[in-house]
Amino acid sequence: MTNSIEELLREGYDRLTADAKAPAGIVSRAQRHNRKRRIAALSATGVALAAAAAVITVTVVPPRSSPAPQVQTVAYVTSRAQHALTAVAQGNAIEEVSATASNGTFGFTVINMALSEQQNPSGSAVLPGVLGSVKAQRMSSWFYRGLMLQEGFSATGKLVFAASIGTVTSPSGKHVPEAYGAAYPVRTRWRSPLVGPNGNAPALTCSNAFPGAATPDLRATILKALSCKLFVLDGRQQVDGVDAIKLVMKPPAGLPVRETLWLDPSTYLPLRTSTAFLASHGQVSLLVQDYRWLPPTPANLAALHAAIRRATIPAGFRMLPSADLPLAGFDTPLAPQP
Amino acid sequence: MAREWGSADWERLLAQRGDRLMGTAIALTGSRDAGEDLLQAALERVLRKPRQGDWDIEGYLRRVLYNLAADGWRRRGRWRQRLPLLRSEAMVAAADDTAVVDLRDVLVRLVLQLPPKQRAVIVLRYWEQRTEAETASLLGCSEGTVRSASARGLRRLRELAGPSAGTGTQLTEGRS
Repeated sequence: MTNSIEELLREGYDRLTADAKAPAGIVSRAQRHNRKRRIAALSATGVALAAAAAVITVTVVPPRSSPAPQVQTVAYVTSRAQHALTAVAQGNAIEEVSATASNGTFGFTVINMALSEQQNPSGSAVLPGVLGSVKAQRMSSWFYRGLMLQEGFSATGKLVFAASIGTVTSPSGKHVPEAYGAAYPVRTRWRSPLVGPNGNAPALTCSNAFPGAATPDLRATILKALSCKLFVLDGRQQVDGVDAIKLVMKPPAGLPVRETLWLDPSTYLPLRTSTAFLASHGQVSLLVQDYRWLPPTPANLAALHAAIRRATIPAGFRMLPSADLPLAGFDTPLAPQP
Repeated sequence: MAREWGSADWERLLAQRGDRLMGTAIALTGSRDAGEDLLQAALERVLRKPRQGDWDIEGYLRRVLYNLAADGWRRRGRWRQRLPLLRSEAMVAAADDTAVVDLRDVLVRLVLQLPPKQRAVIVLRYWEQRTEAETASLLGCSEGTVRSASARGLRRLRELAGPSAGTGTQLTEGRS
């Protein structure tokens, strides 16, 4: 009988790889892909040369009558924005996000948090189909120091779902996070403790640091993208009456996503982000998120706590198993890449 | 002078050693589909430069395989699949839902939650039974890095697996 983690790992890998077969034709597929890559690289070189010529042309055109923009380097803007977002992380603001989708919807991925054979006999962490029919056209979210509330609405403004993360006291007296909510069209509710490994979001990296990708923590996502120096300045643009600083993301290699960030020039906090990508249905999907940064006054915090507890759930709703964790988000997949 | 490797040589190598290479790729990625992608990516990398015939081509291909996995090669592919606002590593762990769930399989899945380099070290050290020196040489890092990645990886696995791995660590908080 095995009893060390090292032996268990070895046996687990032996089982996982027992029937490994190299797929037929993999060499020719790799050669074909390399040929395509070479062709694409040659095309890109041509585009880059054309773009360089265009830049040179633009720079010799004398300035028009428009006022000279304030001189700000991307390093300066990045540094100010990082300071502002770090202060928010320390609890000096409640983050409010209003998200709308074009050619896309908000919905749920349901995770089974159980890891044992008894609790999860299928062995799959994602539960396909559960809440799959619940779709919203816009979503409002609030975040403050581990608290979260997300509400999804239909195109006519009807509340489709309310999903929150608050804290509850466990029998041992510990404060533990708990997901709570309801999906109204399908008369379903849930209450799931967020403990164990599956409640953790993946680590942010320079490859996944854009809103809509890795984690619900948009503030941390933007902060990470700034620290990775993924943005370049793109002048000013009006956003809801504010002469916002516009930054565009230099997409990580091959990433088919176009990301834009607008900052409030007085606070250097985000006003808006937009994420455009080619979706699997063949059209460009656009996710736009508008931000408000609310002071954590006693009244605002009381309102947030009340809203998290509020979710009025009518009698007769079915309860999901306690290990099921519905995660709300933008649920339109990217198009497969050629 | 040594002859340059052609398509037939590569096909022959894959016919003889492909299953072992595929096994390594599956172990490094945790699923058959991802393993196939990783093996193809490694082949693409190796095929980009012409190779002469008198060298350890399988060893080189393996080295590329390990290093692509350790560098988080798969991360970019994930974004191409899905763009949810909320995401859990558990989704990644669900790549192969045909496996029978027992402790061994759970551990192998939990390895997917480790950073790519720790994952590669775990596979090399505890599945392929490589020494610290061999692992360090294959991954192009120091033995100290291998030691710390291995220790951190195992510690994290024990935390994640909880009492089921005989460690005494609590996996979940009880609820009423």
